[in-house]
Amino acid sequence: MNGVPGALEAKAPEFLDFLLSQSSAERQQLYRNGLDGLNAQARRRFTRPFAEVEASQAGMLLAPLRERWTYDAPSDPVAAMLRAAKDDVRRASLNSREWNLAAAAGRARGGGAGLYWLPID
Amino acid sequence: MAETKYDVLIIGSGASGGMAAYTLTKKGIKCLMLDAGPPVDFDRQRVNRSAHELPFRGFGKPGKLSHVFQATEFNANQWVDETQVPYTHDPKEPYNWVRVRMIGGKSLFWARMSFRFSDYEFKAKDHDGYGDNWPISYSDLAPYYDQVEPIFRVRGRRDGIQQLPDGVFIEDTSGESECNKRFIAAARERGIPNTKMRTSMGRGQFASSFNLLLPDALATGNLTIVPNAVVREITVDKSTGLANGVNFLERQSHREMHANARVVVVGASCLESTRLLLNSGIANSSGVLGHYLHDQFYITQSVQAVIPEARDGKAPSGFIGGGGYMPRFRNLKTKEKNFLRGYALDWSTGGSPDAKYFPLYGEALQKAVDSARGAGFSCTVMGEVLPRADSQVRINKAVTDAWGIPVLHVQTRYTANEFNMAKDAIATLEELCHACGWDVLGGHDQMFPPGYSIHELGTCRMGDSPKSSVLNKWNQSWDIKNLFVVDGSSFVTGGSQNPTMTILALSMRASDYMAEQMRKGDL
Repeated sequence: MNGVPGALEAKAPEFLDFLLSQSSAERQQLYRNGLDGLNAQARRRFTRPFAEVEASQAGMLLAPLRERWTYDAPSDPVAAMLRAAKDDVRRASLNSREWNLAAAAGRARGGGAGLYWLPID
Repeated sequence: MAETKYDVLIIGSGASGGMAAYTLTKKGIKCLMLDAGPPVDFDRQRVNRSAHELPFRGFGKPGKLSHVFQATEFNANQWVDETQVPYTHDPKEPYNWVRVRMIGGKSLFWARMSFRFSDYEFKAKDHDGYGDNWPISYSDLAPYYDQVEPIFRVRGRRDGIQQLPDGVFIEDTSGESECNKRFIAAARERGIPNTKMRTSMGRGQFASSFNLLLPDALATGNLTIVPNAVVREITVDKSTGLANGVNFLERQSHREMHANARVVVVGASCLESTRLLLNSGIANSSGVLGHYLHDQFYITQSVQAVIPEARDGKAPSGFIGGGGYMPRFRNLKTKEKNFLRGYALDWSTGGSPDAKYFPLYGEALQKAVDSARGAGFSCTVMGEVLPRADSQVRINKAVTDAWGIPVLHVQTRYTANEFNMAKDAIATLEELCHACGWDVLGGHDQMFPPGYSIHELGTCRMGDSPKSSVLNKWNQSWDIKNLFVVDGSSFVTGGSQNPTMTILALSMRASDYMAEQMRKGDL
């Protein structure tokens, strides 16, 4: 994306696998139910799992991400998972080493950095 | 230490305890200050890091500090560990108790918003019939605000707003951007006043007890600070009925010790002070101790808008940026149908809306985020919460902290008055944004759980009668005359203003009175 690392380059999927493995059962269930639902929809409409559909077909399945933002998460499990994943994927990308390097080279803006508090003895 | 007799023992080194030490030591009174936390060297304790260098890439360890919404993976170690000092609540009534245990307390990290209360707060019952008045009025506290503001170097603009009295300010003479002029004019047409944010500038990187109060107190030679002292209970002389000291544990060794003094001042932060009194079994002949917990509800990022003329970096110099503060404007001269009291608005322009507000993903999302960078409007709503008798804390003896001290059970929730007020705030903000021609991306009226604002108040309130209050108008226990509680627990109402200036002024006033009583031999 114009020199800005995308989620795959930022290794967001690998990091989120790790994060979710450490997360609460509730959070894991949100992703599990949502991904199961997304794959079920993809199979029903396009006879294959989500990871194998065409880009235009994926666009149709990701329609909930084109809904106006509301404070409360959607009740639909797929829409709820997509909303969480949008935030998580973006944050994991912006906070990645790859994004940090792109920002240092003037190709990207933002990226997480700050003063870290060491543990208090 | 047990052999040394001090005049005054102060529990807590934050804003209230620090101000007590500052005031008393300057009058030659020997003070001993205990704090549960250590002194912290900020230069050694913090290091620059990129998020990708942290174990959880800046997301934070899942489940750690689940009540502290302010916590990030960067600052997680500055807050009290909830597993070390837990508290309990009904799962259906969440409460966010946010705490700091270091010399300087929460004054090390506060947002520095520095406002006075007015008689709309001190005499709130006279105005609308709800609840109780404070036993003091604005004129009682004004001389103390006058002294506190120069110490904290409060910057602000004097605007003559009755509900937000002017103070002794470093005058803010900055101008307004074109966007802000438009927003302020739209508000003025609707009877909503605006002023510049009022902020404690402090000195260096702090506006804290740590650098503005304690150094002066130490310089008198009359202050001894004992860090890492976790106070278990206040002890009382059975023959006189007076407080005579405290039992405390050293934080790391857990060794139990005693310290004594003629007068005990409690400034451990609102709920820790009340927890200490409840665990000590004192100062509660009224039965009111622990009741009337309140704070201010907060709705951050309440309304998000984009200012069209500033999209794609097109804003000319001076067009956008800066912000302001709109103090309470509801229920002053008129009366709202479905809520009492009011709310304040802390607003700004020139920010960048979060990606979550754009109904897009992938490259289209990045394009929209880039386009709106620096073109945003955002506002935090801060609403008054009514003090209620059934909003309370009590001791939960079934659970103890790391030092074996029973914890608090918190029982509170927001009700229709707060929810209706929040709806009014969002409708008002959206109306203002539309009037300015701005694109509203999203708005919501859901507030954070009680406690989030870190403005917990009440539970040890002052009043005119020992039957309905814990403290008299001098922050002095009705039951034990040499016991003073000088922090936010003494509040009767909280208004919509940040409370720190009022805590500081009350502590200074109580300390003046205390010193005079000691001089006369009445304490």
